[in-house]
Amino acid sequence: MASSGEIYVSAENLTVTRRAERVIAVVGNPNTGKSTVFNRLTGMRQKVANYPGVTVEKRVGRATVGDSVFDLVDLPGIYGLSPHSTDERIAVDVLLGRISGTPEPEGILAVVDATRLYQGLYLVQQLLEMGRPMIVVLTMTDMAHLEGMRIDIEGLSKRLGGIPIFPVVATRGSGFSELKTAISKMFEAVPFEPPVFWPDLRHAAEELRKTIGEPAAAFQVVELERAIIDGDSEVVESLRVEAGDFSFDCLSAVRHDLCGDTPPLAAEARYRYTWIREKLSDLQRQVSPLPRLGRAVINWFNQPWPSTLSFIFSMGVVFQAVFAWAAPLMDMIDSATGSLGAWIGNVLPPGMLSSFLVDGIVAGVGSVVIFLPQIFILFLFIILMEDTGYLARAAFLVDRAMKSFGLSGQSVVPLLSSFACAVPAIMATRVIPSRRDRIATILAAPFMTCSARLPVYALLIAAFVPNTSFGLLNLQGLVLFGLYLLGIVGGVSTALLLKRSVLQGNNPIFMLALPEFRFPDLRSVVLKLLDRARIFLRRAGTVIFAVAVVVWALAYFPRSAFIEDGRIAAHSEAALFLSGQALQVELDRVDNEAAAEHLAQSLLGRAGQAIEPVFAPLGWDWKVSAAVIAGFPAREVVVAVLGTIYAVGGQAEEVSLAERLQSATWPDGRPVYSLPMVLGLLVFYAWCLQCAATLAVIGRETNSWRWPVIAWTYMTVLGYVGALTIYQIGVA
Amino acid sequence: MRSHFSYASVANFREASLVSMNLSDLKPNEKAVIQSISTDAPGIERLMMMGLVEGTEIIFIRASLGGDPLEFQVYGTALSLRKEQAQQFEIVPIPI
Repeated sequence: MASSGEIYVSAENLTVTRRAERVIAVVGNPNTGKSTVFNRLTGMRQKVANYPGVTVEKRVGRATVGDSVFDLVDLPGIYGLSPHSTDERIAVDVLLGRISGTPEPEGILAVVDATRLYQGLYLVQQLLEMGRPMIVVLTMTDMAHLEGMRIDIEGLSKRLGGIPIFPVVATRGSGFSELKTAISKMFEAVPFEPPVFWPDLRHAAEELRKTIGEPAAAFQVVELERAIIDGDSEVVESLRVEAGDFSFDCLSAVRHDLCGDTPPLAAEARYRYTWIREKLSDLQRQVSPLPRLGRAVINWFNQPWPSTLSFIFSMGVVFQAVFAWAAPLMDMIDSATGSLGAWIGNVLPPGMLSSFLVDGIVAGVGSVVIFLPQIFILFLFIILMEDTGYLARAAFLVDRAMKSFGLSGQSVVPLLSSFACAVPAIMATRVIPSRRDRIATILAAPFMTCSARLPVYALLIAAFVPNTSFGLLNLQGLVLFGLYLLGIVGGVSTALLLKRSVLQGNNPIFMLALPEFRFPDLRSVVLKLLDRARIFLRRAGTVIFAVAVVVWALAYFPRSAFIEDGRIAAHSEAALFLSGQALQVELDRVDNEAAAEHLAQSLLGRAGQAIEPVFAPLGWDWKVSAAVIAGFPAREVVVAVLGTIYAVGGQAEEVSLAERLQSATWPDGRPVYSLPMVLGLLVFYAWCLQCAATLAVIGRETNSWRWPVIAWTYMTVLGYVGALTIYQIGVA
Repeated sequence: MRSHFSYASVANFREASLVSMNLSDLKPNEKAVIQSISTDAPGIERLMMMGLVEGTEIIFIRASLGGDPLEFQVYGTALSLRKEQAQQFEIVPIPI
């Protein structure tokens, strides 16, 4: 990954060696290739954390140019300094130095998309007025050229007060050596007189400072300007405390002088865009765009019907790929963990340690790690959809349908990313302006089939759905597709139910920038993919590891001396009457029986039997019940628990978990995993909310404990009733 | 607030088309200039921040499945709005 000149330093080391370097903020409109520029400049030396109190991702990286070192902060995309969502609020607050733990940036790297020059320049105007050293990075210059746009960069720089502008092609890396040199010198340059594009606003701020005096002098001019335009609460509150209601009157007075009765934000947008159009339009020429086959194809595909069909088709491909492509890799991991367990079993003498390592850790953690290839493929598709701009297109496509469920296309992006994980999806609902719509979306999100459900589905489908094909369609893929549909149906009906009852409100507003289709930057895709894989493995190494250990202990203790004596007695007895092959078979039978008896009287066995009546109507035996209960903190744990239970209670030979499930029987010999039971179990997993992280994030994002409780109760009951109905119909 | 833009060219079109039109009245690939905006409607200020102000040229690209939402192009950005919001923008079509 690291190209020449970049050294890989793990994120942890960054904090240790941290010195107070100059901080440069990377700012720009959404989808300008901002993160690609950031990745190019920092390489792998990045650290991802959250801003205090909120779940907005904070990306910090270190860039070395010659002898100078800088800390770059990649801020969430904004259109201007008036925030409309939590992400945007964070970006503005970081720029103003209001976030503790994030030093106020000394310099600004403004990323402007050449194909959307005017929107970029709106932000650049505001940023320049802050008076900090700044460089404009013009991205997508290759695209702009193809579109027939000719930009006079030198002229643009002059009209903007001499600000350096560097055209780059972020995906190819061209223009970056010049940019890096400029960054290394950005603080040495003679301080320039920052241009003021809207003098009336500047005068209003100075007027405010003059009349209020001391209390207002504590703020930067830009903060006072923001207070005039969007009533920035931090400034307004502090002024009210220091200078009383007088400050409020002053604020209203200057605001009225500036804007009259027009909303100030509207006045600002009018003024600045008019300025750009009048002062800069001669610097941008439009020649006829080069005819491109690609654009014609994309245009055709963006028509309603082709895009609907291609959407359904690509979803189908994803589900098929998750099964078909991952299979060889999964087999490799499976045989690797199997051999590891067998090897440990051979090296160590039989007993507690051996059982702990083989049945507890290898079987428990291994049964989850095996799903890494599928998680990888799923995330690859989701990241590609995000980075090509396809996700936004999907939102546009289904907005009409979402409207009939009382939601908007804006809920689509969170709901689609919910197919990866509900936690970031619930955070992504912050773009939805109405609280009612947001809560409805938050409660619908956990229904979508997340990557943690995949191991459970995959295990049960691989074990119990025949691997037959109808033409191109594979039955296992179809069942998986059906389960995804089931999640969608559950989610949207829940949203509809809520919007028709407790969350009644206006039709939501929907507006969304639809990014051009673009080829994703491989480097960013790989970085994101590795990040996801790391998160998955870290969970397997911590939460799932811990649960596997606990479940192993519960399944292993207490050891009954009575059963052990009986086993040894049976062994000696068999040795008297049998020999050779027949003796071995008999010994294995005795061992298995003893293992099963041990398990049944273990703590886990007793607890499982105690709750078995609750789940008996669903056709679950105590092992399934115990695994499901253990899975409430994190649903993928279920697979690990089943792995451990069936390993402790089974033979030590190399038998896959799927085969062990297939051969599990009730005491009377009926298979435990009958078709109605398996289908019911799948429905239970589709609808039940087994994820502590999701509950925590629902609590944090709705700022109430009530919604997580409602979500959990509602989904658990729904899952139980669904499984009950299917099993009872199937048995009858 | 002082007026910073000229309506002269806009006014000529206005005389030609006596019926007032809004963004949702355009046909695919038709171009128009925004003439006036109901700034009080919800969500409009944000759209203005993205460049939908008086004097801005806007192209209607297409409607989604079922006729809503609508896709427009403004200053090189493709933008999706619902009809309710598009109706807040009064326009003057530019003859092709």
